[in-house]
Amino acid sequence: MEMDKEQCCENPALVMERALDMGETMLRCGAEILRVEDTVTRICTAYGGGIVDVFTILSLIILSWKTDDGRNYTLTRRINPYPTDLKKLEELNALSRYICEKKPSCEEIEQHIRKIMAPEKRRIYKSKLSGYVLLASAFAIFFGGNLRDGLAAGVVSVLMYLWNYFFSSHGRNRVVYSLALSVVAGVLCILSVYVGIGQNADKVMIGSIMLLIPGINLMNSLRDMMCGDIITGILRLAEALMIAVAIAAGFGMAIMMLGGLLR
Amino acid sequence: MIMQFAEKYFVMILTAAVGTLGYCLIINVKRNKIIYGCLGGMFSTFLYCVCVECGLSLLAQNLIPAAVATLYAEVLARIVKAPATVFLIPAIIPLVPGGRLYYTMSAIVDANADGAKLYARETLIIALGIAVGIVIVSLAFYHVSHKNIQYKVRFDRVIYQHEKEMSGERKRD
Repeated sequence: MEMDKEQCCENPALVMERALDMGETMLRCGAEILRVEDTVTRICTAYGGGIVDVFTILSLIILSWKTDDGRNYTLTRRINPYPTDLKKLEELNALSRYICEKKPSCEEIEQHIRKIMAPEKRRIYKSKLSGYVLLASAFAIFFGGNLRDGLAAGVVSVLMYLWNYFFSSHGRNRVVYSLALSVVAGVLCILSVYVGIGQNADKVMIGSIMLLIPGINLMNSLRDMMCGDIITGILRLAEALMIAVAIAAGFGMAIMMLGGLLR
Repeated sequence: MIMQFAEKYFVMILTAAVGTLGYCLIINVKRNKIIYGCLGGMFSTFLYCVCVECGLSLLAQNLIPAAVATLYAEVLARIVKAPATVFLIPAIIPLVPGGRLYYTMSAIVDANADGAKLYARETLIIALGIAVGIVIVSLAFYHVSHKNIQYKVRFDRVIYQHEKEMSGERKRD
């Protein structure tokens, strides 16, 4: 299945498309810009040599390739937001190593990518649900709550998972979505204390705040800025800060609406 | 003294490990690498507790664990052959100032300007500490690991082609 150099140079657009596929999927799964640009460059160079220019920001990849026989090609691709998935990122990373070593044909690469990025079935994932419960209840206790607070945070997190399941955030503005979700979560936390499951409303709320906090954005923005991709770093930082403010505002609204129940 | 320390912080470290496990499940870390994430979360919390016990400043309390967690993630990434993010994100999660963020908001809702100012300042300091901790260590690794990136090769090549054209023109003269 190996593809030789001449065959590739006849149709560089195909190689570029596959390279962009790799870049897009990696960026969507939560890779840093440097990793994306490096992967795209390496794939193009492995197949045809020449000069490769890649420019990537959070929502766009521009790839320009001057092949060895002197022709210029440019492709761009718009990137849509997607929830972070480190398992897919790892698999893509391994795939890019495999591509640069073995140089499989373009169809084979496409098949691999399709297999990794296969759309998930719309069902309740036990691992994710248990992740929500564990995270919320553990951090409710971590920040000083007692066992009943942890239990309440667990109940709230199950309801938040169901909300995520029915109104998933695909293709929506994450800031507005976080605002809506945190209003709901805040109301649920206060109700859980009012009903009598939890004792300290603040600890239950902290537990559910930890579910929403944009930790990955913050981390990636730092890593990007260090590698010299200041634009994307600032974009990610701005998004993270806006989400943090939206979370605070959402819980604040919930307290303003239902805070009377706690007294 | 060790017993006192263990008594005081045992719950914290345990819940940090469980919470990190939950976070790994949410962001879908591969099953065989979850254990490293949990260990990282536990370790950074342990260091945080030690720093608190030593009476360091709020900045240092978060800077040191973040730096060590980054070191842990970068070293492990080279041993286990996976992106460093996979280990770094779970290890940092227990340090994230979720509690301070909540108390800032709560103070604002209660129209408690002094409290809001205090908590907002603390939230920012913690975030800054984590950021600086990550940056310091990552920068070192960045210079080690990205030496062979391909910018340089391309640049030489451009010069080479340019020179070829120049010399050709000179010959024609």
